[in-house]
Amino acid sequence: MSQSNPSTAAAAPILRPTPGHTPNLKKRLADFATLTESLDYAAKSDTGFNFYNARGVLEKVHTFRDLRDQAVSHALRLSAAGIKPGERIALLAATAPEFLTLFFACQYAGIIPVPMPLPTAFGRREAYVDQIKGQMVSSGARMALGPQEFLPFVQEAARGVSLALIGTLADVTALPEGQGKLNQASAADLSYIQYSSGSTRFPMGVMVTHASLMANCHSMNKYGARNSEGERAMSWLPFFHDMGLVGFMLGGVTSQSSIDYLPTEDFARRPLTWLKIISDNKASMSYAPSFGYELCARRVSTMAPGALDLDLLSWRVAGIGGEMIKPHVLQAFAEAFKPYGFSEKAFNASYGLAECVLAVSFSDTSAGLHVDVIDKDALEGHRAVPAANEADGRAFVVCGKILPGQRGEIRDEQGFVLGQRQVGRLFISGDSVMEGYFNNPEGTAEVLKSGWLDTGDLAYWIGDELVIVGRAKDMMIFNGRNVWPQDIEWTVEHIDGLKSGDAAAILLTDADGVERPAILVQCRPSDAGERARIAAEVRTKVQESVGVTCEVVLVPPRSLPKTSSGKLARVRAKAMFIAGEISALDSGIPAG
Amino acid sequence: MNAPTGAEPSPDTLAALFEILKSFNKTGAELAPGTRFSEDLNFDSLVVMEFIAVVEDAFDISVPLNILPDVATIRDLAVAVEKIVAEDKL
Repeated sequence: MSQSNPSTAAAAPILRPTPGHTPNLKKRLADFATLTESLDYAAKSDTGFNFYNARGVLEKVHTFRDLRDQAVSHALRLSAAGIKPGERIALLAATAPEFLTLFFACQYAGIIPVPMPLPTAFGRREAYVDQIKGQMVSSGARMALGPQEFLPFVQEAARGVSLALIGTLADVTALPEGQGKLNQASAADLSYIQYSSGSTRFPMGVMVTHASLMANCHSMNKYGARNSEGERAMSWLPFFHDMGLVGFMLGGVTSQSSIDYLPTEDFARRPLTWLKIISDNKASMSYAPSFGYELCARRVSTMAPGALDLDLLSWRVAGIGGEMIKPHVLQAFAEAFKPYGFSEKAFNASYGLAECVLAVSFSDTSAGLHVDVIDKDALEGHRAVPAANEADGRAFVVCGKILPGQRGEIRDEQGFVLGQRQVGRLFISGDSVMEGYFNNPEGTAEVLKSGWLDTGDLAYWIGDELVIVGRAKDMMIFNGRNVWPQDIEWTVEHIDGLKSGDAAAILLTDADGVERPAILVQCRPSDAGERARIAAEVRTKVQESVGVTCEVVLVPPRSLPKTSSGKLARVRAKAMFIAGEISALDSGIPAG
Repeated sequence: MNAPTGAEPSPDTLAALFEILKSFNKTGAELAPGTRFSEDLNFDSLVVMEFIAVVEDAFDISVPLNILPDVATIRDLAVAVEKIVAEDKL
């Protein structure tokens, strides 16, 4: 956290952030065999990580040199404690130097780190504990490490799981180096497992090898962001998301780029500190999902023009990703911060997913956003036809060319490859595609077929550029958080009077393209009071355990369609509801 | 840990929180000690942090993230705030 004791802060020497570049050291863009090799090289530089607090004051500096030294020493301790190469350690991924030390200690010992999330909601202890328990169990973690203040959650989650240690970095430091051994990983070995995919109840850990990580970092830096000498990055994205973990942290280490960090929770509290740090340090690269830009635009809208002391001229790549890109939000940001030197040409749209390490496509830097407005009726028929009248169309942001080393195909339902402006499912193959989900052959077989990854996203081509229109798969994304309909449905089906198969969680899209979650619930009682009770309870329980406010729509018994194997046909249920083939019952309470 | 239920916060702390919550109360729920942030006020994780920022300014404290999972109601938060204020004075 950002708390600091004023009396000790005054006594400490003044901290200086690491420079953006190292004289006489050639910048290399992830052309290494392994992550440890890349940190060995970065340790020759003067660059590194800088941690700021909510007020934008530098609190800690972790140079790549320090990071390497500490990582090696802790690798010996972990190894001496009996954790073998290939075994897993769960790490609570707070935005702090301790996480980096432990993440890289694992690398030097050949141990596979599993970054785990931090809590971000009021009163959802049980849901949070379930989530981290699911990840620890699925990965078979041997230790769970993190900041002291979060360990009680880990201890609760670890009940019934046998762990060698639950502790902090200091607890590892206290272990002897003893007979510990470093392990030189090969490119084909796993580097880490990322649980950004999958639901709480059915966690899916993406296995990332050193080879795929290097391939992705290389093309992202060389062809995507065009990282060159003296570039400086700024990030508030959490280490437990692919964009924060790979896009910045690992992308920085593998390209010897300095990165300035603001913890995610401090960004959410003081979003404008993000821009202050960019301005103070003349950062050139920073990313956020649309909502990050939205928060800033909202804060500044209540201030007098020019009230802030900001100079954003250095911000060359203002990346957007992580959820559907909202063009109107970005426009509002660009207008609000133009007086401070922000150029809308800096906006850079990209597309990616953890199953491909991170990055799949990038638009050209310094070109700004390219928005394609297409006809809504044609879109229903899977064709992306430019709208005759822009006001009636749906606007999508073009996400650029597929990075070298990867290939994309857009296919129809039957698997035929589609051409220009035809909407279908996006498949990716190439050097960044994961080997699979950890310990989950069924989950892997569902998405990986003959070397092609089914991204679950719907897309079309304009020339060789990719446009993402939505998700064919069921995952919903709100404010950067992935929500799985299975989790919502599971919760609903355990309410008194409801049973398995009674619920279908779907996303409804209004005329402006704004998505809102809804849940269709089969309701047997005809009594108005009983219906109102069920609707209210569904809403409360979903809010409580999944953290999503759903519109509850009661529908008649046996109205939700099933697949031939008896599973809920969610996509068909949605289509039938929109078409009016499933009608809503009177729930006795106002919708929404 | 941090189980704040059971203790009763001072009316002043509650009143200050109710005042802050007025501008965050999008559902029009009644603001009472037992009002729940998630269920009654529909706070998502972004609103939570915006709200926390205002609470921190009002009480001149830093609210650690690890208390959130155990704070379900306005009463819980009031107790937690008072605890942090008291600890800061030590």
